[in-house]
Amino acid sequence: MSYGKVFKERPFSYGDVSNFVHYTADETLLNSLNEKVGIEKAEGKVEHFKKRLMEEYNNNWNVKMAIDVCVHCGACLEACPTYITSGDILNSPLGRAEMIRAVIKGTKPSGKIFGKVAGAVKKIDESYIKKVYTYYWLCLICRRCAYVCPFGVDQTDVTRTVRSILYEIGMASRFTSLTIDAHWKSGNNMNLNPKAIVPILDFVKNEIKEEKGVDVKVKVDEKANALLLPSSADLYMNLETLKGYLLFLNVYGVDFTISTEVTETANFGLFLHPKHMQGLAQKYVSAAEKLGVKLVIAGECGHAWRVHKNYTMPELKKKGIKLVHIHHLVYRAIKEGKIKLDPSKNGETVYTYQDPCQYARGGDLTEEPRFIMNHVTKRWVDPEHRKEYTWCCGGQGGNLADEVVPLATQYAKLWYEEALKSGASWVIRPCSICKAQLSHVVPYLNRMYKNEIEYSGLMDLVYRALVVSDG
Amino acid sequence: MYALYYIIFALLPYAVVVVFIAGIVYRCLNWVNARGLTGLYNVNLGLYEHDFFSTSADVLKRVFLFYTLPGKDKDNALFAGSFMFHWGIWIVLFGHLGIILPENILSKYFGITPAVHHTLAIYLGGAGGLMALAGLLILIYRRFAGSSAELRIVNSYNIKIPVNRFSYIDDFFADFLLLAIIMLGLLQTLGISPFYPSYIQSVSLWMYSLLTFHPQISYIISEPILQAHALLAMILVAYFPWGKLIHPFSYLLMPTISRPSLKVEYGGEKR
Repeated sequence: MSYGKVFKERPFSYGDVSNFVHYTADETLLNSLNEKVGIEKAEGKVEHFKKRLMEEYNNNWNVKMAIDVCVHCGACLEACPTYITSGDILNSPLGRAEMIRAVIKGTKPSGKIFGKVAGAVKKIDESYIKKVYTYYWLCLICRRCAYVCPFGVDQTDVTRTVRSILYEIGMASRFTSLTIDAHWKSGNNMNLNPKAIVPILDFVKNEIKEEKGVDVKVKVDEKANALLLPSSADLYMNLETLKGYLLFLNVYGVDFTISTEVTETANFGLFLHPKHMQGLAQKYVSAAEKLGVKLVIAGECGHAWRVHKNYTMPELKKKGIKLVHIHHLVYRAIKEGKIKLDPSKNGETVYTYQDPCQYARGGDLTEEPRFIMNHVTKRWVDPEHRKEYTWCCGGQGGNLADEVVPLATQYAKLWYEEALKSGASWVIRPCSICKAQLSHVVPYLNRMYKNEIEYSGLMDLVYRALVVSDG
Repeated sequence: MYALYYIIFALLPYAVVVVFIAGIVYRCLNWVNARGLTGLYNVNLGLYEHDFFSTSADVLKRVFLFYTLPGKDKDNALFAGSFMFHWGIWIVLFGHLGIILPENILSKYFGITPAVHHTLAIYLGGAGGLMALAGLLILIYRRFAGSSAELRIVNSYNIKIPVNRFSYIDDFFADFLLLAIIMLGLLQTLGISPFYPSYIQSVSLWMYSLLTFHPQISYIISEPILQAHALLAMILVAYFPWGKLIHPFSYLLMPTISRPSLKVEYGGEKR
């Protein structure tokens, strides 16, 4: 897909990226979303914003401490990919934080007495809120600032909170809203219905038969031991990743099923509103219960893993169901010697493994993928900025939206350069958002840097390396 | 006049301690009572930190080593300033324990003779104070002038760190209050010997009288520098819980770093 038009209409200018305003969802779309989670559209934008901000500040431990504890040291600025690449101070953790901290300070005695000298703003209007909307939607929610902050102040959770309040007053990114609406209605982000899902799976099964000479069994909406949650993009754009899941689970002997009600691992609710995040996660719990599974297997997707690990998993546990990531199973299968892998099948290419943000910052999923990389490739390199210091792909947090691609391309320079520096020609980013973002920006970056970087998920390599015994 | 001195140096210290403790308890309770975690059960940031042992190790590394701050693409002035200031302050605070007790008690129970105490105060305390001063000056300079860092991957990214743009009255108040306290403290410490060898004893007796709830201000009535140092320190201690200075206590409660992550269980393994 070409983004020539948006590059022309929205040129990137270092130091001021206020032109990259996310398109807002229209009222019909917002009403549809509100109905799903029982939210009523708020009257009086400014007053509602202030009231809800104080409520969220007082009700959320992580938000309250993030607002209270920051000493303005600026350590987050040198960590934030949005600030490093854009140079716009408002497009930074500190810049975003101060817009909100100023409103909260305005309600406190020190703010009332000293006003601006104390960093407080006493009155806000709709233009102030629009500025908040602009910059809060340009945050990648990658948590790099939080890790580097000496106190662990997580501005990205403040971002999520502020976005949720903006949503309540009718200001939500259209792209993210559309994605969530599709997820609610069809059970996946790509709006695939069962009539499309089944033929796609059949097509992929045929390809596996042709390429690997094996018939893989894939249950759809049938009872099984495990429920596989692929990303819907895996059925659409990342077919090699999907082949990796299906072949591996068959070889490993997992009795699994795919549900057409939740053919998705993503949860864009994380980027918009906790009620949407929890509501969508409950769809996974319901599907798992309905299909009588004992295990839910999450496919490759970083932000989804954060929600699965920190919300879906405890909810499933209440029902006696476990949740793992597909990489956990591959790791175990290799350790147990239950699968055979031939790294030469992935050729002489030099790969580099770049951690998706949410695997590495709180996700506890950095060692398993590296273990797998050791077994499926002949040559791969770890980048200098790895694990907790990994760079975001530049498309997370709702920034896959077409209208911000010129800016997201700037964000993406960091991981791209990291790949070039490590001498690799193929980037492994086992995350659905990463892969989607790379499909947007890699053509531009390859041209910009006069190079040819390729990319894929990790299960793609597992697929190629898997040695299948006769039939 | 004596009554005013008595209020400030015999009664106010108790009020300050009460405000300090009550304030910290209030702030901490306030944080943990905001129970939500933006819709999630856990917001941990670290890797494979499944128990309080591993989170505590991370917190200790953050507190004592500032390990997330230094690096070739970081603003090392922040690391240098923070490291020197905090370690200097810890040394100095530890040294202050020595003036809570009079010389005879220190000598009898801890084997620290007045001569040893003087030497420790001058050399160790002086070094700690100078270190804290140097660190604080670096941090104050950053507050006024801002800073920068350079990230080099393939291209170079010059990262401006305009701390000055986001520094407010509370930041400057804390910085300059600390600066004044440190400078007055150093003036006294480095002036102990040879000019005023009995200085420590007079301070200790006042502190000990406070500790034993029999405050006697006569010991320090003719010590103007100490009075200024003590008064500013009391302002700092009373202010401590209400502003950014509370940050040391945040380490114990910050849910991103002090709480273990949720374990993923599969086939007998927990990751």
